[in-house]
Amino acid sequence: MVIRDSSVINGYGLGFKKLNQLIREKIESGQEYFQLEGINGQRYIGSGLGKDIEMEINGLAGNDLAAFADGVMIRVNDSVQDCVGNTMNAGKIIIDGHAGDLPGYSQRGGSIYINGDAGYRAGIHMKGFKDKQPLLIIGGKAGDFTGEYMAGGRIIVLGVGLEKAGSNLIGDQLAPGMHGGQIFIRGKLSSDDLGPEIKLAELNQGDLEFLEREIENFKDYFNYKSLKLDLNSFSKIIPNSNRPYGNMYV
Amino acid sequence: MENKIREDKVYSGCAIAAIMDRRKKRFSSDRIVESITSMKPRSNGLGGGFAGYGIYPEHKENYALHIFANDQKAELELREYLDRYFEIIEERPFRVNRGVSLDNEPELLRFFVQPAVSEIKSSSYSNTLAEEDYIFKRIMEINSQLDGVFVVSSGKDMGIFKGLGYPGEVAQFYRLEEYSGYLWTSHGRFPTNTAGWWAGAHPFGLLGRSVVHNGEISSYGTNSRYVEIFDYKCSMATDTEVIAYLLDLLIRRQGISEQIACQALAAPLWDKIARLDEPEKKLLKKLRIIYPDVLLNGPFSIIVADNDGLAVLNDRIKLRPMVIAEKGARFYAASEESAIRAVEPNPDKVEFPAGGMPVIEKVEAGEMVWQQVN
Repeated sequence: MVIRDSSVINGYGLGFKKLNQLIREKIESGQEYFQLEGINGQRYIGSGLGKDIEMEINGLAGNDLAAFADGVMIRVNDSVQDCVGNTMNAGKIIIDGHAGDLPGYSQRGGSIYINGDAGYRAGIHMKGFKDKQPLLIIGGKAGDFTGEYMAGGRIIVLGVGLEKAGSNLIGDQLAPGMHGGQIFIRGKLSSDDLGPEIKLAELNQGDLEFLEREIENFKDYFNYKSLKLDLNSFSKIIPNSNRPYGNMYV
Repeated sequence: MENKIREDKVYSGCAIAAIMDRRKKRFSSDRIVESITSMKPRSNGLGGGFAGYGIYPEHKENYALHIFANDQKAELELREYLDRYFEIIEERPFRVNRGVSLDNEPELLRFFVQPAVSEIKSSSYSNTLAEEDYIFKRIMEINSQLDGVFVVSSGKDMGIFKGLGYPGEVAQFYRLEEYSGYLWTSHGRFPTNTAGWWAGAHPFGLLGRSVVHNGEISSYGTNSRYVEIFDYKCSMATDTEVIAYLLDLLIRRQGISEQIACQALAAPLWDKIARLDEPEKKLLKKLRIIYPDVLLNGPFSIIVADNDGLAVLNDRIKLRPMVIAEKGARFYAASEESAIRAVEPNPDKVEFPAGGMPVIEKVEAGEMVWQQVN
């Protein structure tokens, strides 16, 4: 992403309220491109921002980056903490480093690309509706409870550079409570990875095209020129039922 | 009590942080103060505190008692008690900063003590374990029976500084900048289920071991009833206190390693144990069967410190954040990575410990490098 006519904001030593206030004031005065310098842990950056806004963040973005975002484009040239893209509706977040716990928390639209590892509960309660299908791509490994309560959208775990793929790219308790969406993990999973609510599915032509397209985007964003991943080696996980608790309170 | 944040929204969380020098080289408390205060939005001014190790080299052999007394009557009663059961080597009042005003400030007292000689002789308190047991019993007695008196710190060459305020205010209040240590832990409190009060701030300590905690122990009833069997009195009305007592019971009194004690506190789920290989499977099964009342349920991340090092532990399904890092001989842990970067912008290594997997870091054995205080 190229930031044109950018407004540089130095966030060093600023509290999250002050920082976000500065950003919003500039947006109100017509500024659409931002470079944030000296960021270290400030929360809620890009929160609720719409589609004409672009941001480049130098530094560690704090919790709830782009929470409730509605179209903002953010490039983080470093890592992010917990809950990136919390309930995000639309937009694109590209993260050069790693992410803390809960990336894509309740994400309902837009795309999040993480170059490195993700913490626990990646994509917890992602949801999808018609053409609003969120996407979360994790370049490294994901932690336990990936896709917990997932109700829609797609998660891809690539494990770039890791020879042992499959079960080694996720922690324990894959997608408990999953009842919608799809998870793609490079390599083969073991039967221990599949809880009672999820199952493996065959990759179809549409899946392969989707994976090819998104892996190309990933390579492009993080400058992996020669990266080659065997698309057919991916495991596809889907829920057993889209209404697992339908009879619970009958 | 009024919420000191005085804003429309409380951002919640609790913050914990630790910095340790593995070479036992002492460093100023300003590092840990900066680290914890960078996470100010996680606390709400209803509790802040620090534990420092290596801060009283001149009293290395004596127990340093930090004590809160509600009023002068309580203080008098305490002094009579101390005279009866302890030999007071030195009384050293806290030189607090009167420029910082914290609500409900109690009388603050500090004594360096040894068990009273006559008590030791008459009760065959000859080895260290027995001596520590003596101190333990006296502290439990003071905290549960002396009205309005709480011993909040009781180790050797360490001290806990805590109070009702943000961590930064508490540090200023105690003039923490005057202390140097090789290991510091800290806490910014956001009380959830219990009151914000002085003795309820973290860290919680018993003898040399201290605990800072982010989370809620929903098994508190079971845990506290269990430690009561072993003469622990839960008198601080806060769940974290029981963690400090469980660890004292398992590690100091029962002689269990820190690693195993942590695994008893955050035992893996049964389905995980079923997938493990022997002999680990057998060991963890045994732990769950022998110590069901030690298991901590609910979300938590804790940092446990003692004179030899620290342990970092998350609940088994990791419902609270924790980041560790290192740079050279320095080890860091915090609720947020930004709190580590605030004091060490370029760590050699950053890791996220998995739920239920203790990370145990020790200082090197041997004498401290006193000359290199910075």
